[in-house]
Amino acid sequence: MKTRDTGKTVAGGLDRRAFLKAGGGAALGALLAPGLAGRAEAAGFTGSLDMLAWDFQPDTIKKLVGEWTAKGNPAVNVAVIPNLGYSPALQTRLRGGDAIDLYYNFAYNSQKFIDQGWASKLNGLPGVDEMVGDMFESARAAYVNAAGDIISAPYFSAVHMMHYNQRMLKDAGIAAAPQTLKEVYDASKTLKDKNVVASPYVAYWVKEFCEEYLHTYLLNEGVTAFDAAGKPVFADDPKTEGVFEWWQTMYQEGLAPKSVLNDDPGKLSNQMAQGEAAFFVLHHYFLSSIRSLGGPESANVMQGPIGGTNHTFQIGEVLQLGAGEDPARREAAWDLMKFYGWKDSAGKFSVFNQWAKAAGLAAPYPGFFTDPDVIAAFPDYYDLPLISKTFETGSKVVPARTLPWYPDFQAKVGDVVHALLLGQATPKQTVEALTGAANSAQKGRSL
Amino acid sequence: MTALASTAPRRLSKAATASGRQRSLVASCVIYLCVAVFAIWILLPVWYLVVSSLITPAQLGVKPFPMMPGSITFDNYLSVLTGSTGSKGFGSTDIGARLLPAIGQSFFVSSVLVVLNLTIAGLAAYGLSRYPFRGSRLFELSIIISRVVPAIAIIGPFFVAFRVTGILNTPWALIISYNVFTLPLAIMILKNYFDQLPREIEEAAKIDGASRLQTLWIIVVPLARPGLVAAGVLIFLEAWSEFFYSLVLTNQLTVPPLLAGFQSVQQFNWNALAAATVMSMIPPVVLVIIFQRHVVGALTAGAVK
Repeated sequence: MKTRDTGKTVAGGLDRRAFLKAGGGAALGALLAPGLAGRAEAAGFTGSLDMLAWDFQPDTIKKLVGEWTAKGNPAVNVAVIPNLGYSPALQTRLRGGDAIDLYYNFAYNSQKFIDQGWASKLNGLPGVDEMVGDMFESARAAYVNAAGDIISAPYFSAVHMMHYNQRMLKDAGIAAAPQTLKEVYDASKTLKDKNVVASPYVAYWVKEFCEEYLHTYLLNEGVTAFDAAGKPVFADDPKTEGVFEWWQTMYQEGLAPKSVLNDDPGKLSNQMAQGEAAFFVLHHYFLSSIRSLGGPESANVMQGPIGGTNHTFQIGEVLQLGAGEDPARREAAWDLMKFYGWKDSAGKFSVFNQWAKAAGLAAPYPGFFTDPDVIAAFPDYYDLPLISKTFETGSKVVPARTLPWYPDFQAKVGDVVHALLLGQATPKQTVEALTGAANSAQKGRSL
Repeated sequence: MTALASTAPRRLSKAATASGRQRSLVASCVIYLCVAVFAIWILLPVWYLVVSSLITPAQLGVKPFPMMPGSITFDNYLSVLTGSTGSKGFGSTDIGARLLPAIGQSFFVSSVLVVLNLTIAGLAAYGLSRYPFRGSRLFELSIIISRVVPAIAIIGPFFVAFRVTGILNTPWALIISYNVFTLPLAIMILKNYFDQLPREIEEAAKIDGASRLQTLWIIVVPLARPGLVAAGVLIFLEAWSEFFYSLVLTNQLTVPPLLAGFQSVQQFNWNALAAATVMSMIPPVVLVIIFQRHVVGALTAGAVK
């Protein structure tokens, strides 16, 4: 969809220092990653590209894309719509024949969109194998399906982490931040019993997000919900029921506040900042939110691993290449995609660096965490080596999340989990309901 | 409430009822208490929103919520208008460049739709009221049915048609598509209103030599002005608050999808959202305050025979 021309131009000028850095980086990039020399590929297309994104700092999106254009690449019409309702709006547009060259997408829609003919596989595109090779091994399954097809590129990545109030733990005599579910329960109960805080644990348990926590908590106990083929193997694992028992108990015993089924992350961050909660499990970058609120407890909130010797959940939303068939246009769109979801032509993580500055977002590349610019972009209170290690060995993506039936399952999880939390279903019934939802989704009977 | 207030008793002890009997003090107290509770029920969320727009994010987290904040700040309004929405890291940082144009676009779309709908619905409703035909009741019901069809079920064809004609992401895409739900509403209200108007006046005009259109323009329209105003206000409000068509057919051209943009995967900037919402509420609220009497009157037309 074409956007209106705002008449604004983005300055893409380079100062001397930036020029020298870019030149050195370009030489290094050309040696190490031939696929990055993208300008040559994009040069064959003289029109303008269409890009669709959701509303998170659209001015930054336009600035970044403008920088790409300023390097002699095609102009890009950036359209922005809200994240709320993004998926139905995007699908309506694509179904209606809208030709979008590059767009943000939820990871769980990737394979479905390719199957529908709304997106292209990236196989065989110049540099794509290097891009995948550059990723953390733990992250690859989110972008490469079981058949080996590369279906998307990263827009941003994150890992679920434990945010905890160090002062409260100390006051309650808790020696270390809890990591396993049992430790979280015990610590929460201690904090509540000692009247340190009434409802110690908060999390973003709204229906739409329960699916992420399902994987987070299962992985914490060493359970991977689905096998590579998408079979719901969590149903066969005896630990699964225990995870649901823990989840239900946390809510039923008031260790999490009653309002947590509807609270937004902004409110939850504020509760941590105000000292109304001691634990908050969500994406790592919410530490920025808690600290920037400047509440009386903000500075006491730290970040730690979750899952103990097991894993936490790694998430990330993606960039999707449109289904356009014009070779030159597709090459240009791919070049933009590489720039936006990997590195610029100088081999720098310039886009990810901007997102790191903006909100502490991460990228699923080891090189991202060792890049001096990225390290400088993150506030001091982040333990970057810990986050990097969590990406590398402490977290998992769930490959089944990119399968075409998965969105239908995802849509059901919230209702099932809320019934569990409200005491309307037992853990055993919850296992059965989720298994049924997965099987129905796979058979196309979920609606 | 204004309507109630205008008929409020002059003495609390004894109030005249419609039947002429005196109402007891207890009954009056109960009625006013119910009205007060209802008013609080309606206005409390609005007050919460206004207060949220006047405090800092840190104050927002304080429990209990400060219904009368000790200190207020206009930073949220300033940040929404200048483009820096609170913490530099979060939310839509160019909202300032987009909010006022979006309010303008919403106003334009809603206003054009009011004029268009009153013209078309006025003629349609008058025809249905004065010239009934076999099956006209069924026809009326079929008009209403279009209001209960989910937007997502019919937006696809709209999208294709507008893409082909090249009017996607323009106000005209919304003006045309909004008719699906505003036109039936306008026809229902105006038909109901025209049914209440005495036909004898129109017959007298006819005897005096006025044509049908002259009768409509000179006699009926002035008499139906309250109904037209009421329908116009309701059309305006419906168009102003519509979300889904605007989400799909435009790129945050109007206010609702722009406000939804405050909630992202990464952050939900409540204070800035509250300030932007309060600003975007001003035009429709002013409109309703001005025309409220007509709206209540028209919607209750026919209640008393």
